[in-house]
Amino acid sequence: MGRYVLRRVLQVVPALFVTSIIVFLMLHLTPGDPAYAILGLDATPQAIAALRTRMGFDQPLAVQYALWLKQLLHGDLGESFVSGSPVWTLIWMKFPATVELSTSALLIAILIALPGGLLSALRHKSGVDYTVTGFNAVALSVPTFWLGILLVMGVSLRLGWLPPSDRVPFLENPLGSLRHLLLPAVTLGIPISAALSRFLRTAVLEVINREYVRTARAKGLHESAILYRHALRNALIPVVTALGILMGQLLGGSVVVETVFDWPGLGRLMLISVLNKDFTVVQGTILFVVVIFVTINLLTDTLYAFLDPRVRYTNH
Amino acid sequence: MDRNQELRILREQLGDGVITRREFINRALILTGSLAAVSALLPGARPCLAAAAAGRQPKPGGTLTVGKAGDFTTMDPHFRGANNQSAHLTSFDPVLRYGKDMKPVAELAASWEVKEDKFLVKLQQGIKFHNGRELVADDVLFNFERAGDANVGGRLVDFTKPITAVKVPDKYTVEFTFQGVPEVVVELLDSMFIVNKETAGQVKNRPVGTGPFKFAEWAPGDRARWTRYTDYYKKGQPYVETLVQKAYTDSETQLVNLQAAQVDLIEFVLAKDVERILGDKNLKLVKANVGAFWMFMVNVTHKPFDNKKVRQALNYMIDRKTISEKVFFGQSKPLVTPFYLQTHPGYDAKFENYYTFNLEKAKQLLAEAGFPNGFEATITGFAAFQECKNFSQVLMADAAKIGVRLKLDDLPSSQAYPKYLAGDFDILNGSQGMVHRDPVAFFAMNPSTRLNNNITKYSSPEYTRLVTDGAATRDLAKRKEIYKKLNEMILDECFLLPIAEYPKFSAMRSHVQDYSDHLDGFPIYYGMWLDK
Repeated sequence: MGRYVLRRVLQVVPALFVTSIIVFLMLHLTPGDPAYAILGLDATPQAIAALRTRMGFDQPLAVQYALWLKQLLHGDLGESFVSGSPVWTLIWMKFPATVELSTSALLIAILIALPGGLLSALRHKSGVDYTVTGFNAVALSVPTFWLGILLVMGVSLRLGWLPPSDRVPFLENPLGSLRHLLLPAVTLGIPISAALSRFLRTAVLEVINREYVRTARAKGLHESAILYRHALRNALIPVVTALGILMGQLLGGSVVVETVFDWPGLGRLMLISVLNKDFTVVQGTILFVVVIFVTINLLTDTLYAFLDPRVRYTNH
Repeated sequence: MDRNQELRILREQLGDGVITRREFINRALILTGSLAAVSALLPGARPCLAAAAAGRQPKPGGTLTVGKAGDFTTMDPHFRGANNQSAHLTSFDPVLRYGKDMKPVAELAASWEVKEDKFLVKLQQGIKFHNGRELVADDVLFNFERAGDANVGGRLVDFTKPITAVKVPDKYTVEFTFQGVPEVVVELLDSMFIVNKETAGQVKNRPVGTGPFKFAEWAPGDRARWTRYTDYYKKGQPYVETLVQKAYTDSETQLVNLQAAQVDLIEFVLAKDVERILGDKNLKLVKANVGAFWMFMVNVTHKPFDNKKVRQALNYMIDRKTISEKVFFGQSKPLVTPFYLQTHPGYDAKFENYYTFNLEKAKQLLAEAGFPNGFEATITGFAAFQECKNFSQVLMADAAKIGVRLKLDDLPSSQAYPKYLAGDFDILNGSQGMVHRDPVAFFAMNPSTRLNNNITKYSSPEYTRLVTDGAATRDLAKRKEIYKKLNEMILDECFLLPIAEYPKFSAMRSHVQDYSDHLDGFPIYYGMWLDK
């Protein structure tokens, strides 16, 4: 088990290296001069030249990358060209909001997906199954920005039940915090719930037709015991892997949801930094999100290996 | 039929469903010229605009939350730019400020006088910076030198050029020696917000000035927070205890938050949302004339625009009426000349219809210029401005009818700015300002009208002579004569083609009282208070 985890950790290193190259090139090969985008029309030629030097744009691309990588290996993500704040400070300032939103969205997704997916599989080809499948199809097709705006218009503006934006820290005002969190978490959680529900439905359908379930049933075990002890436990193994992938979707989707709901997280920071061409912040934030995603996947794989010993042996 | 009769009929037509609410607003605006008057005429009308609070005792306290379009890029007031100006009016004060009537108003100054080529300013005594030190004349000198340093980075450097010397005769007096008209000094003192010398190195993200609010925090990409400066020199002001400025990346989110009472005021409203705000009984709208206009610029060295007749033909191809109605929802008056304000020395009513939409005339001019079958050209644009894209498309569709094939190259700012500054375009869409300021500023600062490094590449000995004479002549009658000639020259040469007025709309919840704004349309927070 230890060797398996170590091997997976070592596999992450080249993945992160390649990511760093992609992130760097993606920004630096975009046409245009970010010095103009950052300083605007009010800047003197001297200010533009000084910023280009400070950003290292007067150096060859390979040198710029090497310098950034060296800085990165020392744990330094640099400073924002716009605000002058260290990128780490900005990330730590915004990260709690993104974690709060993503975990709440995931919780909502699980709360919807678990009963939905199970019912849909157990009542296969029934009215319940068609309803759940239909809901999932709609939830997966609806763009999150549209759903977000619709909820703001309906729940916040028309009904006045919940605030349309902003975040209140939980310790400051627990009830207020939940009120502000609900709409963005639902918006982000609904498409995830649909994907999760479909995974669960497929996995349960596959498991309940297996021999060991038939054997358990033949032994006269109670249906709920068959479901929870034999079917669900095995069906959850692929679902756990899917959850790891869906976390990536959560982090990606938060850019849109954080913008619609004015949620002060990493996604919104990333968007504003892209608009301001604040390269160091964009690079730092994307890399940070990638590390989080890779770490979650690593944990998922480890958990998967723990739940299903065949994974460890197959990979030897 | 008089105006009141027409308004009454319009109101009846709205009530009977003969016209839509939008049609009512647009037509009533033409008759009244005032959004306040129009909103009062709407069914369920309520008192609108800041005047509603006139004469009432301000209530101190509370938090004023303001939504702004985009985050700050710097809080250094010597580095202007639309996104940053609302930070300047919180932490800093200018020495003088232009009032709406274009007469100077004292801010940090106690008095001022002009003697030949000298402009003497006496500062008020006892004004303190947020760090506790008293403001003295040396601070103004320091700020002048800083604003004039190109390495600091802002275009304020251009404002300092007509000032040849600055002296400090005593602790509270500053003496400016200037070239040309004294307005050049007023322009500088209005635009140069006073930065604290000791903390100038951190002004980008920790501003310290004498202004009504002290900087508390800036969470980039989210919000900036300011607290009331209790030692502010305008006794009793500011009224609100805390000011929060929230950055929004999307105009829809900003407006929804205003409607849902998450913010008290939004600094910038798109023309398309005016009707929606007027229809909400909890909101008030302010329209400010900020001396700006939407326009096309033409590079006069690029073929075929090196031929004046082609540029004039282009002017005849612009359907300003349609653009005003469809692109700006009737909120922007169509314009032909940049000097559209009646108070401007170069204004002349006879120029108002110098060009009309006339494709036949355009075709005739093109034939005379040797392009009877039209030509191809590119309009370079800033992708961030949807309005520019829309009015360019109106021109493209009309131009195509007479064989002129225009292509729109809509670019992100990182690509558009270098092209703009280098004059690397056939036609460029965008906006220009400073019409409400002294013409000296208009001809010194605007890239399309300045003498040096004019991005349209237009120049002529007569143009240079008139611009130089205008900046040196103090006699008002002579100045009017000069600027009218310049107005006619811009119309004839067609290197700058105004399209429509560019007003600035702000909106607020009805409890925000005594709203007023700076000449450039940004809120002056120290006089505002919350009635809730």
